[in-house]
Amino acid sequence: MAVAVLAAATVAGVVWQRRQGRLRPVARAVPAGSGGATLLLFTTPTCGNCHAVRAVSESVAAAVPGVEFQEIDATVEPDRARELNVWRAPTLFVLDAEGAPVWRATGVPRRDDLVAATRSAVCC
Amino acid sequence: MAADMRPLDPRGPRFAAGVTAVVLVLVLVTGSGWLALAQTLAFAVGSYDVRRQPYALLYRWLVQPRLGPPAELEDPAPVRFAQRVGFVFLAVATVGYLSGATAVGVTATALGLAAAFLNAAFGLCLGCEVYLLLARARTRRTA
Repeated sequence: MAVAVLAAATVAGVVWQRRQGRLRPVARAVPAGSGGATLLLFTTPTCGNCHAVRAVSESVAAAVPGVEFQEIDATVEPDRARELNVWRAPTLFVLDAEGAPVWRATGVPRRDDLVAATRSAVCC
Repeated sequence: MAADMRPLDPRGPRFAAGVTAVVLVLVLVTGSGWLALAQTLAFAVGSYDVRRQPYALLYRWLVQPRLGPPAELEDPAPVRFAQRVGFVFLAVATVGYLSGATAVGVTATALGLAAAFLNAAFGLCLGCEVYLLLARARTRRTA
């Protein structure tokens, strides 16, 4: 029994870990591309690694022109979370100049990946 | 008396989750309701003050002096929430084992073990992830 539980948890953990921080394109989004983007972070009061996502997002917002960083507590504004189908924190979105989501990631994204995704939402 | 909410060395909760996982394996192997009760009490202390959680004390006394200072600190609120989730599961498990409803005891302990193991091995705090699900479900009901 204990062995079965540990095996199942290991599989779940590996799947979870591989998805962590990976930026995925949001299906129907086409960047509006008028020179701006927003990094939108959903947090919760119990979120353990939100501070790490906040730090990397603020650093990217400072480095890429025309980008601003916003943070929403999903438990305070559940409607915004529902709108963007957020179930976990931290969930980070890269929004284009019109506020449409272009990329999303749960967990802590790598800075280089986030810079690339942010540039793709700003430019064109 | 207010709970201590100073930032934590994040390696402490990881260590505590590892000890918890070992204890829960022993509960499953022995089927001991009393051991489940002991773990429930450990969670109860952690639900109030994560610093006084018995495994956290063990970490501070035995492990931390051998390690360097932590690279970063962690907010205790998510850890405390996870201890509360653990408390609920193990309280159910204890009642199950001690009342003879062994299937209930085994199921609740297995769920607790999965969560503790994921925390110890991968740093995934299941209780923290579930928090948003619960918050969303609650607002949907009232909406």
